[in-house]
Amino acid sequence: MATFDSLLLGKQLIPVILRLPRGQFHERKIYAYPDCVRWMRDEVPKMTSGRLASDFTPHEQLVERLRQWMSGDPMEYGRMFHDMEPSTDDVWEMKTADLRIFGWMYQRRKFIAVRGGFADHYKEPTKIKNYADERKSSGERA
Amino acid sequence: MSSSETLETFEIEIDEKSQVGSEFMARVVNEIRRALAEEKSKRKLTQQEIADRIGTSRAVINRQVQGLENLGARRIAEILWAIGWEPHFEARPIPRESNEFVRPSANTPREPDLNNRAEGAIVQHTGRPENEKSPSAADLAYAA
Repeated sequence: MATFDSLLLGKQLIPVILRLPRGQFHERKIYAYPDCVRWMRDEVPKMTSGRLASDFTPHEQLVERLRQWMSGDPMEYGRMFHDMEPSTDDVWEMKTADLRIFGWMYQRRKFIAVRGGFADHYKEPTKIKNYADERKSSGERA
Repeated sequence: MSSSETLETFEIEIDEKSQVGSEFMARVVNEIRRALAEEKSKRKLTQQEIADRIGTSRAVINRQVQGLENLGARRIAEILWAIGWEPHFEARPIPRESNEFVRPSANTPREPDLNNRAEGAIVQHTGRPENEKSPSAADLAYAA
């Protein structure tokens, strides 16, 4: 079974970096699967807000949520960030108005982002995706 | 990034305008949550009660205090009013070196640094040679 270090060495896990504003320090880390990095880099900047019609673009929402995570700001357990199946596979979901990032907590303060998606695709009545199906396909590849 | 391309790290970037907008709203939401938490610790207070006072639904209040729904200046004041608080807002200029839109360009003449004598553009005119000390209170008393 691949270890965290071997995945990092093999570039199957990529550290995500965000320059923090003055006075904030990197308290937590985030790593992402290459597919998730591709989504953050290529897809999120092109997205527009969904049914919540947020004042902020999905890209701005992503940066702000990552800033909160990395800077050690309190993350509201529930709406912002919650565990999907804590008793089985420890799947966590990081949320913004328009985005969903699924992953797991490798260690305290280290989040591994596996898959990202557009929130409306995971919510009724416009639901077309299910994180559990994606988790299976990600698991098979890893 | 093609499927064959591999990265060592991924640095996510955002322009300064977007950054200041989203950071400010995050600070506002955090401040509202801090006020709510403080009030909840003092007395039993539910989101439903806040929603009833404002005249909206609990779900809307919940999304707004989580930063998942837009929060206008009026609603900020209303939520804080509903829990017995009020907002305090103050605008101030950004230090010149901290913002690219007010950062002086190479062609803009720099304002002199009044604290830096080496720059020497402006010194207080006393009529005395520059290396002469200002008279002390004792000197002035003696002269009188």
